[in-house]
Amino acid sequence: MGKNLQLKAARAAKDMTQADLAAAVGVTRQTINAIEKGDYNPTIKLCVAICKALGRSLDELFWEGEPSC
Amino acid sequence: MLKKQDNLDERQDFIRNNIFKHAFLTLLFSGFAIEVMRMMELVTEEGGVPHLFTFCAALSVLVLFVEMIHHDIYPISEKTQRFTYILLGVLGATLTGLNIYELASGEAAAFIGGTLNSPLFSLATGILFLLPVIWYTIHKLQQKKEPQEDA
Repeated sequence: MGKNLQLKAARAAKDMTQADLAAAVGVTRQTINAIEKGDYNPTIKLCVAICKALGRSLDELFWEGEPSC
Repeated sequence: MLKKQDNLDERQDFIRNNIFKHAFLTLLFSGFAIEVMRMMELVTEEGGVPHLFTFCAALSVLVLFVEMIHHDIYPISEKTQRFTYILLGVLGATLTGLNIYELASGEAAAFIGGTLNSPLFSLATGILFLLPVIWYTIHKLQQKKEPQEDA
């Protein structure tokens, strides 16, 4: 699993730190870091929570390659 | 919110399950190792097989604590956790000190007739109790040095 650069970029665009995003979705900062580094595969529940916190879709943040239709 | 009552998120919960598995396997294999040692007559019942089983239990607890500290997963609150490690450290230091004294003063022997003896196992158990405290201190010092945002 590669790095999730989309998530990192979306978080940065919202001017949020890993700790801010972690607090917004109710996980630890280390978990957000692990997702961004591609070390942890989050559940769909957490993915949806992250998408809502960043105002993005699942496709935009978690789909690898071209977004699906 | 995704946080559970015990304050562990889904990643920590997943890792914690693996840690329990590792601790259980440690207990299983170390128990098996004792049986092998007993069959090979490296240790006798009188020489401290019960102490050796205590050592195995301490080893499993050590795996549990060290892995939990390493992955920042604590089953207890920050305050209680610090108290637990201090208590472990005091117990470990006492056990280690007493056994070193007994062995050094000649009150007890590490080997009797070519087999391992109980003070040796008690000493090892004391050292095992000390290890999580050392690991916890190192981990906390490292965390202080680390930047808040990982690359």
